[in-house]
Amino acid sequence: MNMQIEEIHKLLDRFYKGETSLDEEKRLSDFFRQEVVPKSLEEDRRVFLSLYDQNVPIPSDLEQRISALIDSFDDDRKMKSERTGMRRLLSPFLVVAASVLLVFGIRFFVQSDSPKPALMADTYQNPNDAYRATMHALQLFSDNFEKGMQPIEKAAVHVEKTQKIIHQTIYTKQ
Amino acid sequence: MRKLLIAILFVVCAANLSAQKNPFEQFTEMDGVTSVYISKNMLSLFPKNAKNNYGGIDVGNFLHKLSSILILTTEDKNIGKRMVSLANNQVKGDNYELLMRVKSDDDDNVNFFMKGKPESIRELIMIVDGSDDESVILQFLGDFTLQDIQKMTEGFGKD
Repeated sequence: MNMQIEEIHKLLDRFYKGETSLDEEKRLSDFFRQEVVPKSLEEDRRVFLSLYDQNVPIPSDLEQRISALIDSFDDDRKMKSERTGMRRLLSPFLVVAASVLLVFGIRFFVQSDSPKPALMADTYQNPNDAYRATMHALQLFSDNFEKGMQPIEKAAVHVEKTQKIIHQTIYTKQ
Repeated sequence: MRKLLIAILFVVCAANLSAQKNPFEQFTEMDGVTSVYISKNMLSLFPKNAKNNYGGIDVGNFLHKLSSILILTTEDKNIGKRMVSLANNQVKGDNYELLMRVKSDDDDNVNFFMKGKPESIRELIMIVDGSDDESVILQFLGDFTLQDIQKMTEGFGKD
């Protein structure tokens, strides 16, 4: 008996370290189930029986409780899928809104970051030369612009004349 | 996910577009084209008594509203033709508005294009298609009105 108890102690040590084989574990459980154990092993016996005891009574409403639990899972999922459905409906708008925001964000960033850098170098270093070139350009521009405006001005004069004549005829008739 | 990628691509393209360079910069590289670029800084350095130099024309008001002037000229007929057709394509593709089209007696075609509203013009372009002599592209960038232009041209027309 003593011999056996010592061996059981050893086996238990190894068991708690997780080193026992299946056979050894069976021996331990057999031992605890069959024999009256000394007080020092009483704690271990309770642990062992709770681990290896096969005759746990099955509650009669177990099946009901399990299926109720499964049903509740199902309900949960339904609620969730309704929520994701809403999200799916909203998602195109979210995508559009997000991209619009991005566009404006980046545009703002680009514009504020680089306020139109000088694209080209000045042709003239001397303001007087630049001034002369500018005046030349403005002169050329004005010449052509005036060429376009002259017929319009002429037409305007004609329109004015015509209007005068119309006015006069209306007033003299009255 | 794919939508998101497309959106990002779109954003990148849009950002690129908005960061585009002056479309007429390409012409400064053309062989046989003389280009003159005058920046806002240079414009601000113009002589203060400029009025007197130019027969009392008040161009200061107009110049003050410009941010740059680009002048492209060429006397070569072929280069001129190419430059003008490229410029015309550029304005066609890039929603400029035709302001005025003038055909003068000596067979020069002059087109004026603008960008913006008449009360706030951001860009004004004159394209002179000189069939026999020089072709010119003039570009004014800034923020000015049609009235500013009219005043300026009237001043030049007097002398």
